[in-house]
This record gives sequence, C-alpha cells and structure tokens, in this order.
Amino acid sequence: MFVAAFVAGGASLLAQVVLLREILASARGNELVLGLVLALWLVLTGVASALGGRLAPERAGVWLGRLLSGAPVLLLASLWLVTGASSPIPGEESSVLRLVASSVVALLPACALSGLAFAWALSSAGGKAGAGLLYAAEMVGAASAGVVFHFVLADRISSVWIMVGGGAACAVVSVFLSCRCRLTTLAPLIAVIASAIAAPMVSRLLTAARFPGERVLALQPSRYGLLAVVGRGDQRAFFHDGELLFTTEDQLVAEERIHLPLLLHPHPRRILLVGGGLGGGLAEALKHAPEHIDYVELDPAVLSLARTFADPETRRALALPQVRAVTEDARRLLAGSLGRYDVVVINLPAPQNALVARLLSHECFVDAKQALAPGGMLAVVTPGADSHLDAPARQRHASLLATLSPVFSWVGVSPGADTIFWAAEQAVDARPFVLVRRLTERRLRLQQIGPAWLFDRLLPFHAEDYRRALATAPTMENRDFRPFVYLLGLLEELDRASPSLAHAGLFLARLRWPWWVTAFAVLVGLLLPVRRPTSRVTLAVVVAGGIGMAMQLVLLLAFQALVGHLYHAIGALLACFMAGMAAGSLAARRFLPHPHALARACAGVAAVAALVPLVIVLVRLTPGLAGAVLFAVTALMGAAVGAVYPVAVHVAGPAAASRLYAWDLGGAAVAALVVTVAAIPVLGLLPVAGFAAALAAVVAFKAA
Amino acid sequence: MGSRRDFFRTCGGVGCALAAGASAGSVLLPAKAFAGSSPRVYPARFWKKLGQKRIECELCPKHCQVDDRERGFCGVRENRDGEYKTLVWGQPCAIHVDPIEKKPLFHFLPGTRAFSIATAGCNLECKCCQNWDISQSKPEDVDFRFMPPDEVVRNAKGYDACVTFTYSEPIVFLEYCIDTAMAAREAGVRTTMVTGGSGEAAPMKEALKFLDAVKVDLKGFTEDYYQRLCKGKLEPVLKTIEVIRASGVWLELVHLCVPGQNDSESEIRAMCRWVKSHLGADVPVHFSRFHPEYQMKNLPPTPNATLVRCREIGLGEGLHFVYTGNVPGLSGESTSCPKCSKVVVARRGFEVEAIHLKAGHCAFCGASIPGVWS
Repeated sequence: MFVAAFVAGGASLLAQVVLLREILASARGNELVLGLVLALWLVLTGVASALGGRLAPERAGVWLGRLLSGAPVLLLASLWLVTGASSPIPGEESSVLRLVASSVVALLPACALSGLAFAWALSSAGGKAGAGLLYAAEMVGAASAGVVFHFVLADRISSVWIMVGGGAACAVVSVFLSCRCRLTTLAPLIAVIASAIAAPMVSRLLTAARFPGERVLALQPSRYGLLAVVGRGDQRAFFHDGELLFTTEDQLVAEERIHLPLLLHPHPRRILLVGGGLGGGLAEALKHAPEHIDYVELDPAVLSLARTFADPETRRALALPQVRAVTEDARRLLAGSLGRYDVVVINLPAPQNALVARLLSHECFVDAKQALAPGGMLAVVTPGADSHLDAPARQRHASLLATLSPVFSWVGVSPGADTIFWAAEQAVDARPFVLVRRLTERRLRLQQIGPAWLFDRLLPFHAEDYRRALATAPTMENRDFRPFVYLLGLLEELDRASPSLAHAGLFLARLRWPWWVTAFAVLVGLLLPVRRPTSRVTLAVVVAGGIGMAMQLVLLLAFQALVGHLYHAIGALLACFMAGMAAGSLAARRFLPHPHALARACAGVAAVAALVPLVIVLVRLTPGLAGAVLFAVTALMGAAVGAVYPVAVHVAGPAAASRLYAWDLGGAAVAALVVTVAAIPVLGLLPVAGFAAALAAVVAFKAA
Repeated sequence: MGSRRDFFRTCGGVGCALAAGASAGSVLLPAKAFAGSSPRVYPARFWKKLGQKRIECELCPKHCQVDDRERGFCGVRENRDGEYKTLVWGQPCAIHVDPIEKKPLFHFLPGTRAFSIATAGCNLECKCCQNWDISQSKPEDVDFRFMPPDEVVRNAKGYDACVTFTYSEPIVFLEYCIDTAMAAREAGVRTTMVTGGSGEAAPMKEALKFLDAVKVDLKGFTEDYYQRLCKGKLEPVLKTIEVIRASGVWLELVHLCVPGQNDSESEIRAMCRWVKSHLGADVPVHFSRFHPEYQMKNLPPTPNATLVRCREIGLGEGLHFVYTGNVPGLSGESTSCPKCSKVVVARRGFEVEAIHLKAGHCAFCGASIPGVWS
C-alpha cells in the first residue's frame, strides 16, 4: 500500500505539473492563471479525497488497484480535455469563466485519481500510524517525481508521453493490489496500450486547438514551458506557453526598441541586451557597429529554435564572433560584470511573474549600475501606450520610475507604445538634433526611424503629459523581496478580460499595512472562539497546508533573489521541501502519544516560519552561504509542516484521515492563490513569513 | 449556553476589529479609493424621448433604448431624468501630436502634424482594438482633462497642426467633435476624423459640414466578421462611407488585415470591387498590418506577404491608390501617379521624403492626383 501511495504521489505530481503547463499554454496564461489552476487542482483533489474517504468501499485496496489500472486512460483523458481551454478564435485570450470551467473539466479525471487513490489507500492501510506513513510515502513519491521531471523529463519528453508513463507506473502497481485474476492483470496492460495508441492523437488535438489552421513548424517542451514555432508565409512566430514571444518580419518594432536607447549614448561599444534580441533587436543593435554584444536569453531551447527559425539577419548575428549569446540568469551576469558595458538594454514584456519582476527591481538596477562603464547608461523598454495608459499600467510605470530614480542620478523617459526609460549617473543628452546627428554619423538608414520620427518621439509635450499622468498614480518601489510590479502586470492583463475584477484588484493593491493588519486581526478574532476539538484539528491542518504552500513560495523567491534563478537548484529546492515533509511526517510518530502533540506540531511550524525571515536577513550578509542555508531552512520548513497531518489524524482518528487531507489541500489552495497573486507582491516576502508564523502561533495556542 | 456565549464573544471581537479598521481606514485609506473622477455632464444631441423617462439614442445603428440613470452601449452617454447627456464633452483622455501619415491620411496635407484627441468610449467592441484601454473604458475610469473646443484649436495652432478626432470612436463624442470642428473652421484650422464608421446618417451629415477629411476603418467585409469580432454590423458602415463620399469631404479607407479572419482573397476582392463601384477608383485604400493587442494578444502579426497580396488585388481591381500600412520599407508606402506611375509623394514610414506635385497634379505628366494638398 505504501508503494501504491508512493507511485500515486509521483504520478499525481507529474500530472499536476503537466496539466498546469498545458492549461497555461492553451489559455495563454500567467501567474494568476497558474495560481488559479493550482488552487483548483488542490481543491478538486481534496474534494475527491473527502468523498473517497466517506464512500470508501469495503475492500478499498482492491478498488484502489482497479482505480490505478485505469490511470493511463484517466490521465490522458485529462490532457485531452485541456483542449477546451483554448478559445475558438485564434490568438484570443480565454475569459476567466472559460478558464475556470475548462480547467475544472480537464483536471477532474486526474484529481479524482489522485484524491481517491490517497483516500482508499488510507482506508486499506488503516490505523493512526498508517496515515502518517502513507502521507510520507506520497510526499517521497511526489518529491522523486518532481526531481525526475525537473532534471530529466522537462525538456526532453512531451506531455502526452509523461502522462502515459505516469499512468503506466500506476497500472503496474495495480496488478499487485487487485485480485489475481486474468481480468485485473490484463486490464492495466490494455489501458497502457490504449493510452500509448491514443497519445499521438491527443497531442495533435492539443496543437490543433492551440493553433487552429496554422502551420506548426516546431513544438518543443523546455525547462520553462512549452515552445512552438508557427509559420504563415515567410513569417515565423515564436510562442512560449501559448504566449507570443516574437515574430520575424517585425523590424519596425525592433527598430523602435533598440535604436533610441543606443542613439542616446555617444559611443555604445560594449552592449548588453537582456531580452528582445531574437525578434530583430540583435541585428538592429549591430548596425551601431559595437565591439561586442552580450545577449541574454534564459531558455537555451528558445535560442536553439531561433538559430533554426529566426530571420536571416538574426541567425547571422548569432553566429558573429562579437556576439555572445548567454543562457544564464541576467542578474548573475550583471553582478559579475563590473564596469563592463556602455549600454545595458533591458527589453522585457510587462512583468506577470516574479522571474521578470526581479529584472526590474531596485537590486537589479543597482547591479546594472555597477556593470556600467564610466559614462554608461541603462535603458529599460517596457510596454506602454500610444494614446492612454490605463490605471494598472500607469501605476506600473510609476513604480518603475520610482525604482529607477533612487539608484541613478539622471532618469529620462520617452513614452509610447514601447516606453523607454534611460538612466545614468551623468546627464544624457536626449535632444533630437543630437540623436539625428548620431544617426547620420553612424550611417544608419532605418525603415522607420529618421529625423521626423525622432523629433516627434521626443516632443517635450509627450514626456510632460506622461509625467503628469504618472503624478496621480500611487507608487511603490519594486524590490526583490516585494516584487510589486508583477501584481500590476497581472492586473493589466486581467483588465483586458474583466475590467471590474482588475479595478477591484487595483483597489486591494493600494491598501497599506494597517488594512492588512486589521484583516489579520479579524481573522484571528474569528479563529479564537473555535472550541470544538474536531474544529481545532481541522483548523490546524488547514493552516499548516496554507503555510506550507506560502513558505514554499517565500523560500523559492528568496533563493531566486539571493542566489539567482538557477533552474536545477530551484527544482532541487522544491524536492527538498517535499522530502522534508516526508521526513517530518515520519518523525512526528515519535511524539504522537504526547497529549499536546498537535500544539507542539503547530508551534514547530510557527517557530520555523518565524525563523525564516531572520535567516533570510542574515544570509544577505553572507551571500556565499545563502544557497546551503536556504536549502537547510527549506527542508526544516517542510519537516515542520509535514509533521502536522499525521498528528492531526492521530488526534481525530483514522476515520477523519481523508477529510483532513482534503482540508490540508484546501488550505494550500487558498495560499496558492492569495499569496502568489497578492500577498507577496503587496507585502513582501518577510512580512508574509511573519504573518504565517503569527497565524501558526495562534493555531498552536488554540490546539494546546 | 456555551455556544451563545461564544457567539456573542465572536460578534464582539469582530465588531471591535471592524471599528478599529474603520478608524484606521478613515485616516489611511488612499484619497482615491477607486480610480477616476466624476466627469462633467453636458446635453447630448441626436436622441428622442420615448416616454416615462425612457429615451432612444439616434447616434448610431445600435439605437440604444436607455432608462433613467442608465447608459447606452458606448458607456459615455447617460439618461438623467429623461434627458440624454454626454459625459465626455470637452474631456479628452488621450492627447497627442502625431504625423498625419500615422492616421493614416496620405492624400491630406502630407508632412504635417495632427493634434489628436480622443475621449473614452466606443460603440463597438473589437477584440483586436489597438486603443482598447480608452475605447472600452468609461469616462470615470480614465484620466481625462477638461479641454473645451477653443483650447483644442489653440493647441493645434501652437503645433501648426490640424485637429484630429481619433484613437477611440469619435462618433460617441460627436457633439464635442462638431463644436470643436466649428471653432477650428472659424480659426482657419483643418479638422479630420478617424472613425469606425458605425453611425447614423443624420449625425454624420451634421459633422461633415465642418470636417475636412475622414478616414474610415473598414474592419471587414462580412457581417460575420463584424458580429464575431466587433459586435457590430457591416451594412451601417458601408452606408456611412457612402454618405461621406457623397458629401465631398476627403475620404480614405483602412482595412486592418487580421490573419485568418478577414484577409481571404475573396473578401479582399469583394471589398475592392465595392469600393470601386460605389466610391470610385480614386478613394485611397490602406491595407494595414495587424499587431497583437487587447483580446488577441497572441495572434501573430499580419505577414508582409499578405499585405502585398492585398495591395495587388486592390490595384488589380482598378483602384488607383492602394497602400500597405504599419510596415515601413514595404512597397506601397509612396503615392504613385496612376497615369505615368512615377512616385509623386515619396514616404518612408511616417516621413515624407519628397513631394512631386504641382497644385495637386503630377509634376511629371500633369495628371490630377486627388487629395487635399495645401
């Protein structure tokens, strides 16, 4: 049974990751979509678990075997149902309603499998001790699968075959759980074969739903998501998770984004481009005859596809000796490049996740300043508007300006559909006739940019109007530990589909500290009167589940901020957390008989959660140890959270095991949505950890 | 008894917390808890009463029937006690100075500037709208400024520009357009309009008395496209175009080619034939490149080959002036004489590089080149 829990846990993790990636790609989603779908996964699995516990059949082990034998079909069916998340109009964003409805339908088979499997395993294993062991086994299975996916499968095997593989593993285990008759031995085999036969068809259906009527030239899973290249005529369009990255034949856009920043510097000899190069920016930058260009593209798969499908000028540029394409975290590159560059151009889409937000933070701008040679200049290109900036965009721009201004002595801006900020320690001459002179001196004959364009673009009227609009927008500096701009980027995106939700979100985003403290006080006020023992146990599990999810995110972002975005390390960090949960679950068996075991477990969560901000502040002083220390704290946090569930089951009784598992997932679901989307960007990592610790302390007090 | 005590304790706790929060909030709540400020209200035109404080708007084909305190589809006209009011008169939220070629107007005062203004609101809901942040917003949701007609004209004069009503949909702020155009005419300033064309004839004729040029977005040439992607209708747009042509005001058309949606050869050919037969071969037609925006952010832009093909179809159907837009460097930016084929207005992007015209005639062969050249 523990093997079954291990395998089911692993298959469940694989299914979760694959379905999240596929729904993101179909719904062309972002961090909000990610949080929403993750929350739906947790809720649906929890509901399935609760129902499974309530309706557990007599021979639960045999039924578990039958369920697992159908896993290949269930998992593939979930994947097929993801096609419903794509809008029938090509390129159209899915509405929130469509996204939620289609995600629920798509996730149901896989979540039912995951939830029912755990519940029936619990029923079969029985006993108070069994629940903790099963929980630990599931966590170890999930951690192992996470490692395998992250290090081996992510950029090599397509989603359909990962689902077939996960289903096959479940089917193998099912043979040993079911009664040993011919049917129960053959059924899993038939299911595996059927899913293997159906897999290519499901893959084709997914692609056709995402790109109806298009000629798909390449489909490739990468570490960071699903990549696609679509061709129409001679044009090639590159997609990442369904989002359009860049196209060829887009010279106008590339010109506007690159030439103004480079013309602002008198002699751009050594240039760093962070993003925006493969759509023509690199080729345009070379027209200024620099000595060297470093181009950063985090995903090596994107670079590889560009070398095949990008326009000829870009492919030539990538092959030139003075161009170095770097697949590394841009922050680490900046930190290690003291006084190296004349111009650094950060050219990114509107931030909708912490990964992009950290390239627009105070700390990043400090790194960029140190990477500039004397007389050097930083340019930040960000989506704006030709006519009018709506409220979330205005606030995002104001935040960017508020983040740049304290770091650099001079900050200028040219607003437009692509707004360009420039920042330097010395005055930058942005007079149009100076730029026109440089245009001539550098013999630049461009399609769009000429004297008239420069004079119009740099009309004082535009900058004055822009600054006037920003003056009314509330601002908050964007920091690594408080990546505020990505919340604004999400709200901008939400504004397209649901303006009323976006405005409500913007209102909440403007709420300051006292409101959050008041809301927390209200929450505590509601929790304090809870007296019934079963309610206190449930509360402990819900809060532990929520804190577990919240602290995973806090530690992940802290690692990113202090060490860097290192793909493999981050995968290992997540696995470390889950392994810690497993270890905590096993270790909790030692103090199960203690009368205040639940209070102790919750106090442990509170203590470690309170330790996290302290540790993060201290490791900032010793960056060399940051990685190792954060790994250790992550494992400790996982262990503290993992200890709560088995203790809770011990207190409430084995009959409550499935229901408590459901509540555990419910708490995690709420945290997945609230913490990712709102709490971290608005409050910051350290206060979120503080709130988590305080909440755990209250619950520990109630549990005592 | 215990549960009642718990209940009262909970209520007391929550009440205290809420009171504390309210006092904190009264001091610390942001001054503008919700975005935007209240727009000024002015009398609207082009509507009629239906009785019982209900009115019917007659500005556009939607003919919204609006109850008291409600607004029409456009979101910028509201029924107040049985009187229809406009919430955007004199309150533009987008003010820019653009090259006239950006509108695009290629046969109207080339090389000059357009002092461009727009208010919130639109009577369509195009999924690929390039100015959705104002067209799909209400006046109280945007950052507007009060700029009465004479101030608009003064600003335009300061930039040596014409006044252009653009970005969102001028039809929904037609009162402001008409009043501003009247003031501009008195001051000797030209006015132009960039519109989707979904308006009723009577209001359009009123506006045309004071306008000098109009560019209409002919978004598609099927009812299906208009309904599916714009929540509008094609027929009223075609009627508006004919009204503008008949008025003598300079007219140019733009067709935004959305890949896979409205760029089929049959549709383009049908549209070009209609233009030639109903408007004449001299009406300039621009085939413009779609860029991902609003709710179609992930549809790739129009391939250059599509624009070239559309232009070839237009020229093949006998239209004299067919341009490709939003793609500098592509053939189709410059104006050629339909008689001798020489370039009479050379353009690169929005820049006019050379003009070879003499009093509106080709400098090489003397053929008349229709447009407003001075």
